[in-house]
Amino acid sequence: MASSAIGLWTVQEIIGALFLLIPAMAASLFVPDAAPGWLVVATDILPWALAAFFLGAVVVLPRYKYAVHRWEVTPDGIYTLTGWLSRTWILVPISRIQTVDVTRGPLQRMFGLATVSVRTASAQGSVEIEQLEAYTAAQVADDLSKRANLYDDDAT
Amino acid sequence: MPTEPPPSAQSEPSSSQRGKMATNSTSKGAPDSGAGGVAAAGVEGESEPARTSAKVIAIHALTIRGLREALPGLVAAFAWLGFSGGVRSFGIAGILLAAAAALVGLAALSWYRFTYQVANRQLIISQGIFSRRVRTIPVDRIRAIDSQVGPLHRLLGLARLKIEAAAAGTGNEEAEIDGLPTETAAALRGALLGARRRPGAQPPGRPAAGYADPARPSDAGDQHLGGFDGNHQGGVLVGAGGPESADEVLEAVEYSRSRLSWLLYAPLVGSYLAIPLAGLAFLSQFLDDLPESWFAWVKVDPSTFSPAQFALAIAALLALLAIGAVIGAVFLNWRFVLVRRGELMVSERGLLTRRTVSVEIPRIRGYTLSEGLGMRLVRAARLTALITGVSSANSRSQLLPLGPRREAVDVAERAVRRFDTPLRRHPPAALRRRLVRAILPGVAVLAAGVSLGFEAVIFVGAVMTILGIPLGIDRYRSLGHGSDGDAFAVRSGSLVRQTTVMQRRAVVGWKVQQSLFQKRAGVSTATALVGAGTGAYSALDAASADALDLAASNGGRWARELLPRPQNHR
Repeated sequence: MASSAIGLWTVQEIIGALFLLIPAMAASLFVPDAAPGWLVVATDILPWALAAFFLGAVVVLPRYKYAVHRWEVTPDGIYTLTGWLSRTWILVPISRIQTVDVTRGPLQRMFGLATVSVRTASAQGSVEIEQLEAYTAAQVADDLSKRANLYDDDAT
Repeated sequence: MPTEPPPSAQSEPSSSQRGKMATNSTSKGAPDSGAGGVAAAGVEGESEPARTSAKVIAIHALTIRGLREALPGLVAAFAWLGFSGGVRSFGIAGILLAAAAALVGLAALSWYRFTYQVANRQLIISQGIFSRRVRTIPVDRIRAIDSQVGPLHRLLGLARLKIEAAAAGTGNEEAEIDGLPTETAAALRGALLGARRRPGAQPPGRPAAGYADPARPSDAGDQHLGGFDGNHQGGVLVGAGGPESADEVLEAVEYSRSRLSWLLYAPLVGSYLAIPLAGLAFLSQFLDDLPESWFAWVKVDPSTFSPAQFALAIAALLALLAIGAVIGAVFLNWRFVLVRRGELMVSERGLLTRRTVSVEIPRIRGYTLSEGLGMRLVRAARLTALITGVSSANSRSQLLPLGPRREAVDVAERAVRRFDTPLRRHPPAALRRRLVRAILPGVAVLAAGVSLGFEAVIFVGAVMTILGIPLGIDRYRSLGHGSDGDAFAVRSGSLVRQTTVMQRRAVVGWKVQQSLFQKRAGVSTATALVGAGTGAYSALDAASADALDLAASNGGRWARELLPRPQNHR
């Protein structure tokens, strides 16, 4: 996985944090004085608590995820390991690949990254190799689709 | 995969494709239907786009089917009528007459514009009055054909075919041919599903000896009897599968035939109980609109009931529900028969609307045995086939709608595959996790009740908590997984316990998940990704080593990557 993924995840965490922080700050600013005391105290503390939590999340989480996430394309299959609190291993054999897509979101484009999504016949069986360098992603997708084509059954 | 045709074919596929169709025949197995007329031509000759029977116009006009398509136009017409004072000048009768004529006209037009043909191993259906739609379905992609004969259809000797093709999207992708004469429908069904016979293909887990060979209809009979010796109610039926089988001369090997007593299971199954409830809900909408005087004879007031009367009323209501459920089951499952005809698994059921569902046996990858809580009390079960390209969401893949568990297991063994390996229990940590999950909602309600001081909430929370204990224990007892080399099984669920047996070759990937809590408990969840049924089947909270083992041993070489890294690090 590309190391610039850390930057991307950091930006994503900051954006996610702002979505919660701004309402919390607004609440603490606009809470009426007549409100019960515990509510005033809670809305005063909440933004600071959130800020502290997100500071940790923004700094630690992307690095931790980067350390955990793995992907590998072996001669037989694709293998990914994702997650931070809960780990998910996914294995899909090349012979069962239906489609291979490369997607690049606006943020990903800023960091020169791309995601390779591999779909199978199962409605719930798609694998995503996230945050590859765009060039690597294109190569992987090309390689996968070429090798998947070597199997001539309908991959179900 | 039903694909939209290229723009060139959009206008009239018949003219462009007529040339090559004469040489192409996909109906080797289709017998001469002898039905004559345009409808039969599409099956036999494969040359002309054919129309359905014109009688279907009557059905469509009566059931107001064309209306949906023409609704925008009709709304405009009525608006014009309203503004221009048309009601006064034409009179109500005139307008009704015009509406009826419009209905018949629309039905006739949509019948005229609907054609189907089989050519180049493709089923081509073009339809639509105003906006034309041509749908091309490769015959190889057709997974199941559902033929429905409703009361009106039966009166006119017609059938409605729904054709399910493998498609990733679950939307409105299936094709429908409404109004074929029953013989033509049977022949077309044979042509679409039966005609492509792969050499060497045989149903999973089944010896070739007991297999109906359509090529030798004369001497196959003895073979069947030999191959299915242990079949207590089996035997060979020749063309006795139902009203539509007259044209299909392939032998039918009977797997299951329902008995009247099976209908009595219905009141214990949620989905059947829902039928009378839905009916009641529908009727109650009109209750308010009825005049009060109709209910004058009802001289009871529930508020003055004694406890005994109250109990009686509840009992009567429950009895009504039970009867309603049985009646619902009668309509849906009447005279259920499951037979194998060549490479097709054919099931028939229904009282008013007779459904005949044909599924390709080589596409069946496994089965799910479902037992609800009530069903387990009386040892009843439901059996569903897992078919590649067919979502289990629809009732098309049912092998046994509702019957004794023993029968369901028996059908599963004979129709799909035998699975004898005892399932491996999951570790005690799984019991703890199930219990916590089952009790937690009740405890949360209890805590909320205590902190807010509402007695009713406390009561509900306490009941939920207490009920959660047996639920959690039972959910744990359901858990299990096993594999016998060629197939694996996973079981879970309490309110509906589901045992799924799946062929190893159906697996298109494995997913192993472990949360922080699972890691501490030493368990993981292994999920098989498959291109059939719901798409994913999980062994919940199995011991981590077992979960990895299950995944690694039920995939090809690729699955061994899952085994602990030190072992296979290269």
